[in-house]
Amino acid sequence: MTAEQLENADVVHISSLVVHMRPDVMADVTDYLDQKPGLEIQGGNEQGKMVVTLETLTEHAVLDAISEINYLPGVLSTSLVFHQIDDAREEQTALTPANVGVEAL
Amino acid sequence: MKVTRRSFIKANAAATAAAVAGVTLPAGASNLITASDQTKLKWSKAPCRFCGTGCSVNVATRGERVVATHGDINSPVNKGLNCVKGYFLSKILYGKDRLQQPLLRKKNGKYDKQGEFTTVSWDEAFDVMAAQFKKTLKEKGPEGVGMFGSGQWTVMEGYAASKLMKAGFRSNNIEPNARHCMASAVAGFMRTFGIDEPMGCYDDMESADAFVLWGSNMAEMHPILWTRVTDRRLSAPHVKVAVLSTFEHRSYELADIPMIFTPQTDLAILNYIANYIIQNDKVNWEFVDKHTNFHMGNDDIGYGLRDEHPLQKKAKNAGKAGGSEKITFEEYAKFVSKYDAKYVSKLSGVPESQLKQLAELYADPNRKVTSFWTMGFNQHTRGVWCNNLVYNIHLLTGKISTPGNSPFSLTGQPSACGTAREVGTFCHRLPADMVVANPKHRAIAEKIWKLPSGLIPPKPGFHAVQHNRKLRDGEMNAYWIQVNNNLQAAANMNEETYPGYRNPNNFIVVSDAYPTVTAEAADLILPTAMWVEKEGAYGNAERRTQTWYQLTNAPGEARSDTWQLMEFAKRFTTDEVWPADILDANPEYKGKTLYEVLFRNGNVDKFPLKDINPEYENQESKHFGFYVQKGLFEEYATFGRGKAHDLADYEVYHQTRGLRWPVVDGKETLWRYKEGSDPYVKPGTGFEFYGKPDGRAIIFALPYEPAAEAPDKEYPFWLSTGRVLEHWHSGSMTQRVPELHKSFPSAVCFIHPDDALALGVRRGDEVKVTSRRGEIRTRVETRGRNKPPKGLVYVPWFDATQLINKVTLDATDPISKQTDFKKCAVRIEKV
Repeated sequence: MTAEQLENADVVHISSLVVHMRPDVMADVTDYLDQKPGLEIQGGNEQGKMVVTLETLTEHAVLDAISEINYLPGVLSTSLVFHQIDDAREEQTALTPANVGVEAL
Repeated sequence: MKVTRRSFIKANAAATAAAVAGVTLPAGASNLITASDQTKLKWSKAPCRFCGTGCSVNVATRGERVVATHGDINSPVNKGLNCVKGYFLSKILYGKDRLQQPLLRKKNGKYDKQGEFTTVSWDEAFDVMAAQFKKTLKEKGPEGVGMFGSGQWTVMEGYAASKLMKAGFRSNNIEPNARHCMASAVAGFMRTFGIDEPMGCYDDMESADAFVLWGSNMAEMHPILWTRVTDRRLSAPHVKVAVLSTFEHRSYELADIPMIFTPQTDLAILNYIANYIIQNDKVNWEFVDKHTNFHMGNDDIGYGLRDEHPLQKKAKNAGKAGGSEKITFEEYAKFVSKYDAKYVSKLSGVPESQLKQLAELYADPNRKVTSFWTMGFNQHTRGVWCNNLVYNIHLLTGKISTPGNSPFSLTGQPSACGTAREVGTFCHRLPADMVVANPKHRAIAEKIWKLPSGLIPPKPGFHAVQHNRKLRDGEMNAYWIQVNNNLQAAANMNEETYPGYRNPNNFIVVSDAYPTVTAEAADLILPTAMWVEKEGAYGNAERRTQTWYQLTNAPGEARSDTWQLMEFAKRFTTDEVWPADILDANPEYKGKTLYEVLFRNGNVDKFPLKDINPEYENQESKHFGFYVQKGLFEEYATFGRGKAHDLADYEVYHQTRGLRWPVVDGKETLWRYKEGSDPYVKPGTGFEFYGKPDGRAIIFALPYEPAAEAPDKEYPFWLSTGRVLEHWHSGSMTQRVPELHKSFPSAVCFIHPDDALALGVRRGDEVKVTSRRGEIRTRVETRGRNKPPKGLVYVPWFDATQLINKVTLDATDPISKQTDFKKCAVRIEKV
């Protein structure tokens, strides 16, 4: 998957993960993840926590990415938090945290 | 435009993950939905359908369909996170082969054990089933019928089943599959504390200074709790994590003290730690003197095999496995003194230095320790002992019932605690830790149920492993299985389970949502509503009771277990199943159906339909004409209120993310037995283990004893079975989620590369795994998540095409009757 393919695709899966790792591998994991198209490190802390977002063409690619990250040396757990399918062919609705979320509960 | 919108979604995704990770402000989350769907979704809460962690998930329905789930940000358990199984929850309802109509084996238009599965109406299904149950009850009496239920039953389902069996049919032959997973934990609690379930809770994870995993692979089996342990370990550098297992697995990534021990020697390691504490003068005397007693347990107790098995005949105390006698501390100290570092290191294969590091975690008075275990301890022919021995260590040091000091028994099923244990769907139990053998307990149950006295039989029924033996031997002939896949799950299926189900004298009924291997071996299959297709309640490992509403309808004619149980009860009258003397003494019960006496008793039918939340469907209640779930729950709750098992009013659970019992004056209890945090502890005592008459917990002297079967020349490998992250139990749900199936499609045999080399096999090669009882074919895996030591192999059991329980041994813990799925001897051959 290339950046161009992503940009041209009608359907893109956008997801975010929380990754826990040993603090001593954060630099290596960062280097590795920086090479992956569609993946962005959004932040984290020095205690080994990292927030990343993924843009993929399929749902299965989300799982593959989780699996791949999970098996990097020193990675302790990877949890998927958010997943949304963006379909350019569908009518658009403005998204706000209020209607995306579950505040109504 | 596309790119702008995507940037916005991405920002939202990032903000949500950061919120969950505790980095920035909270926001919502969603999955599997497109932007324009937002306004059409209805979000509700439900506990996850899978393991005993009890994560709360938000469930989105659109029209008639569950379309999305995600971790519930408001849940104190999972705090917005979800594991990969929980993420795909919505898809478990929609497997292509969902059962939608009853199926009966028929030949020439009528029931025939050798016939083909044919769709029938519910009426015909229940007619045939009732005739078979009546025939058996007439020929064999109540002991001829049985039911095998589940820790996945809702609280109400398990309660209704227990009533139908114990009071309706007067048979105690009801067991949950929790016998395979939590029985040793239960017996451990009852023996040490006199009351079931953990004293602590998940909040311990944020206070502990050390975690010890006894055989548990939390990284794969309890991933959400593992993120909490990981978070604590990474954010507080002084925290230590010790991981013990018979093979290396994912949880070792976080281990400061990684230990691999020879199977069964955990018993010796536990005694070594107790010995270390005593030898190094680290006993918390104030605690021990005031709050504990010492007992010597019976040894040489056998292996729960059939009575004629040589190992059973040889065992001195096979008949009184649970017995013990009071001893002094000095006698106890002498007993454990032989478990020194040298002896235990040699026995277990763990270096002395590591043993000492582990013992020091517990011995250090300034370190708060949480111990976790699940199947490594419980599925063990000395599982109850393991539970008792780990409590010993926490009691000797007083590290119990305070934040962070927590011997914590994790749970495998969503309601093993709530239903199997608290409702008491075991063959010897009644609700709220009461037992059928106690006449006072039976009288309490008969009074609450408004039934004649003398109705509940005093003799415990057959336990789960005996069920299969009694079916095979033709002593039990009518058998109903709900919410589990026992043919795949129970050990030694070739010699016991399968011949039992296919015994020509037996009639086997399976209620399930999918055609599992168990269903396929049955005579009648009843299509069943699952999870949010009905209203229900589950109780998780930390005593948290959670409820949910019915969020969608089950497909076709599938109906909930409660509906099935109550409808079936309509087909029996008291005159048919109760003895004449009881009816003569209580003539007002004559001529009534079991449905009337069990479920229209003024309790279960107390709450009218108007009490139901009008925003949600409730099929069973509308069918029966009253609020079924609330009536069952409230009658059940009567057992525990005022008896240290207090539940809140039913409606409270719909408004909260669950509460941990005992719930007294509207307040949940986080740490039991500690003055100030547990309302049942008398002021001035500090701690009180009120499950025991004198308020003292028992420290047990119990030895190391070898496994029932160990490797030898002919069968040179240990076999351990278990789960993988992607699949839950027998895979009947997770194997039907395409993404999960693709991630881990087939079981494999994890083996050490040197062993593979010696066998002449490479990764991916097909091999035969053979024991004295059976064999399967599978493929070799020398890499990946599990790294067994030489001489041990690990095969997961989720895969219905590779039934590893053909190979396993049905040896059980003689006290808990729970099977040891972690140890038997096999040989591996290239195919």
